Order: sequence, then C-alpha cells, then structure tokens
Amino acid sequence: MYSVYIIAVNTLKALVRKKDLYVFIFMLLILMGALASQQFYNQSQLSRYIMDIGYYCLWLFTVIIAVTFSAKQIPAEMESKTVYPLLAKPVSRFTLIAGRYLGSFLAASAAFTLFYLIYGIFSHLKGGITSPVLFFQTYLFSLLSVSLLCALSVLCSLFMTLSGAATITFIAYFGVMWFSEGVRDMAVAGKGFISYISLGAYYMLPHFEFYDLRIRLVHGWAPVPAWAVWHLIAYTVIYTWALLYLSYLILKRKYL
Amino acid sequence: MRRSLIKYYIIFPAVLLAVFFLSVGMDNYRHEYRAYHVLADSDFIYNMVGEIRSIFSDYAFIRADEYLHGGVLPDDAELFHSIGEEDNGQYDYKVNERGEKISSVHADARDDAGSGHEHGEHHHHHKKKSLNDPLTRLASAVLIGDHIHLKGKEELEILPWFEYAVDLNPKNERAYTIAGYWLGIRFDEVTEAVNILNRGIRDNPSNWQIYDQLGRVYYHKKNDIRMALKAFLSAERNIDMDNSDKFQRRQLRTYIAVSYEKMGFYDKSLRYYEEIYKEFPDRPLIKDKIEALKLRNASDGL
Repeated sequence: MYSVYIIAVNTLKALVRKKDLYVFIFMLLILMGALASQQFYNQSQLSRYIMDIGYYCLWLFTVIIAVTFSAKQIPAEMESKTVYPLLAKPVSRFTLIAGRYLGSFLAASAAFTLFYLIYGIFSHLKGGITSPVLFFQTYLFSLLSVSLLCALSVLCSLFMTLSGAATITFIAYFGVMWFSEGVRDMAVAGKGFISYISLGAYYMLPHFEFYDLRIRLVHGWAPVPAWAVWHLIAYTVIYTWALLYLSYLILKRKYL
Repeated sequence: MRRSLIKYYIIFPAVLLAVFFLSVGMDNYRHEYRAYHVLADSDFIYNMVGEIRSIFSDYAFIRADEYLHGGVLPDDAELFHSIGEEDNGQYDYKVNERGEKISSVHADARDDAGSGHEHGEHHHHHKKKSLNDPLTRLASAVLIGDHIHLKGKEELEILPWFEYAVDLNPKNERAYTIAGYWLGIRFDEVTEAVNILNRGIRDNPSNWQIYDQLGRVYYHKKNDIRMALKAFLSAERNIDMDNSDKFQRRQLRTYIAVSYEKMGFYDKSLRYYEEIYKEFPDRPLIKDKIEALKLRNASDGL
C-alpha cells in the first residue's frame, strides 16, 4: 500500500510541474470573468448561462487533464525504461498500475477541485447555486467520473501508443455521453441479434452520462436520491476495479 | 511526446476557437461599420465562416428552447414555433399542440423533478419502452427524463441564448422574432424588444416576420397604433405566398384592419376585412365586421 502511495504522490507532483494546469486555470478565470461581465437586455440577475458554459468548459479541461495525464503514465515509464528498476524493487505489477491510476486520479481530481472552486465562487456571486446538496453531489459525481476515466485511459495505454490511447479514451467518453441512450433504445426496440448485441453493449459500457449533473445543477432540479448516489459509488468502484484488474492482466502478459 | 499531446489537445483547439471568435468579431465589425451586406454575399471567407456561425447560432437558439424547459429539449412540444399563430389579433400566450400554455409550470413540478412521477397537465412524462433492471433504474434516478416549463423570472434565463444566436448569425431571423416576442410581450421589456427587432430589420430588411413582431409590440405593449400600423404595412410589403401560409397572411391583415379601424380609417379597414373574407368565406364574424363597417361608412357619408 505504501508503494502505491509513493507512486501516486510522485504522479501528483508531476501535475504541479506541468504548465497545462496553470493554462487551464487562467483560461477558466478569463472565461468566467468574461461571462460574468456580460449583460443581456438590462437583466443583471441571469446566472444559468454562466453556470452552464462554465461547467461545460471546466469539465472539458478536467477530461483533457485526466485522459492525457493517465494515458502517458505507463508508456512514458516504458519508453524511458524506468519501469525496469521500478519492477526490480518489491513493486508488483498491480501496485504499479494502482499507483499510476491513483496518481492520475488524484492529479485530475486536484485540478478539478481548483476549477470547481473558481466556478463555485463565480456561480455564488451571481446567485446561481440554489442547492448546496446538489452542488456537492455534482462535485462528487465528477470525481467518480474522473476515476472511471483515468482507469479506462490507463487500460488503453497498455496496448496503444500514448496518442492512440488518449484519442480512443476521448472517443469512448464522448461516444458514451452522446449515444448510450441510443444503444439502450436499440436494445429495447430492436429484435433478435441486434437487440442482444445492443443489450450487451449497454450493460458493458462505462456509463459516463450517469455522472453528468450539469443540467440538474444549472436548472435547479432536485438532488439525486441518496440510494442512487450509493449505487453509483458502488458502480464506479466495481467498474474501476475491473478496468484496473484487466490492465494488470495485460501488463502481466507483457515481457518486461 | 508530451509536447505533441499538448499540441493536439490544447493548442490546436485553442487556436481553432480563437480563429472562430476572432473571425466572428471581425466580421461583425465589418458588418456594423462598413456596410458589408453586399460584399458578404460574394465573400468566400464570409460564406465559409458564415456556415459555421449559422450552426452555432442555431445551436444557441435551441439552447434557449432547452432552458425554457428546464434544460431538457422536449421532443413533443411545439416550442417557439407556434408563436405568432393567434387569431383575430388576440395576442395571448401560445399553446402547444395539446392546448397547453407554453412557459407555464405546474407548482409541484419542480419539487418532484426527476422522480419520474406525473405532474399534472403541464408536466410531461415521456413514456418510453424501457428495460427493468438495476442499471436502468439507476439511469432513471440520475438522468432527467421529463421537462418542465419555467415560470416567472426564471424565464428570463433564456435571454442570453437569443443574444448569442443573433450575435453569431445576424441573419438568424427567427432568433430576432422570438427574442422580440419574449422581451416585448412576455417580459414587458418593450424598449429592449423594439431595439432588438430594429436591429433584426437592419440585418434582414426583407423579413416580414420581424416587422410583424415589431408591430405587435407597438400594438399590444406601447399602444402606439400608428407605429404598429407602419410596421404591419412593412411586413405586408414583404410577405408573399412563398414565405407564409394563408393563416399567417390572415393574421397580418387582421392586425392591419384593426389598426386602420382604431385610427378611424374605416374604408381602408373594410378593404382588408374584405380581402380576408375572400380567403375565409366561412367565417361569419368577419362578415359581420364587414357589414358593420359598411354601415359605418354609409353613416359617415351621410
């Protein structure tokens, strides 16, 4: 466990050294400032557009950081050959995977927390946060989504190049976000083989769309019921663990 | 390797975005200050960028629609499209195809949002065939399947998207018209409504619907019948068989007829009522109106 911690902390430190985070923070500040300063038809109390566009951008930044950061962990290690001395120490392959995943997750979560803090301040100033519970749920769900995203990205990075892994993870993420409901509809409305395939795909897909509470938050809908929160946490833990275990199995078969 | 990632995922989209917004900004500048209308039609770059802009503009317009329904785009409501189909100059809130008022909301809808319950006549639950398993139950608890209609000041939240829509594409005639409706008729921001509609007319001088909307704002909210009539007549000059249906033309002529009548020009009013009657001979109310105006003309003649 301590080895996982050390690897994770080292990964987290890499985020602080990277300039991407600062660029994104700067961009977010500019964007939120510009949005907040806009006035439409003499109406000064409008807040939903700021919360909507702001969250969309901060989430996009988080996804970019999570995917690119976690996709490069193990390939970079292999390319620079630092993986050999690491594995020569009493560090198992699962520890390596878990450490790199945890580091990426912590890095992306730290970045998201900073973004969300900025977002929260601007939203609060505009009077847009109607439910603190929902605000917290959105934060929690986003972290869960980051977890799944990092695990998927680590898995892809084991059998693809860095760019390939990042691209495939982006495609998987946006594909699920946009089309998973269509897959479910095909499973329900389709017949025979198509229905079974769609149903299988629907159950197997990582459901990133479950974590997106932007509409709820922006438009002041009711918070998600507690049972659903617990179920989603369980779903994320199981799915993340499954992805990491699959990554471990792939790494185990690699000749290092 | 890291540099190439930054290049692909950060710098490239950032440059694309910057080019997009700069081109929009520059183009708006040329449009505003350099009488760009004629040049625009033959300008390759304008047309290229214009296409992208119109896509974004349409998207912004759809977002306004989503906002009006609590962030969910309803697939069975008539939305903004049915605005402006009232009869006999009786401007009222629009109704959708089921006869429900647009932008009203059931009091309980917000409290129960997302619970999947029925919320009375103004809150629609989309009944889709569905799976019945833990994953689907989780989806229905987390995802929003219903839509609501905003009420009161919440409706104002749609305004930024109209502004974005017309900023991105000054040729988005529908956005001007609908923005004018919401500002003028619904929010009582009459000056703002007149401003945006006049801006729309400047950018789209041959669009009858913007003139028509301007006339309605003058008619219903400013009670300025002279200005209303001026706008309605401008609309009439631009309306034809290709850009309208017979109900829209009837509506416009009704407004003109009523405006003339209110200003005391009964003979002109009569002429418009007769035109309407020619196209809708089965409307006894119009016939009665014609008879009344004829009598009035006759008595004035005496």
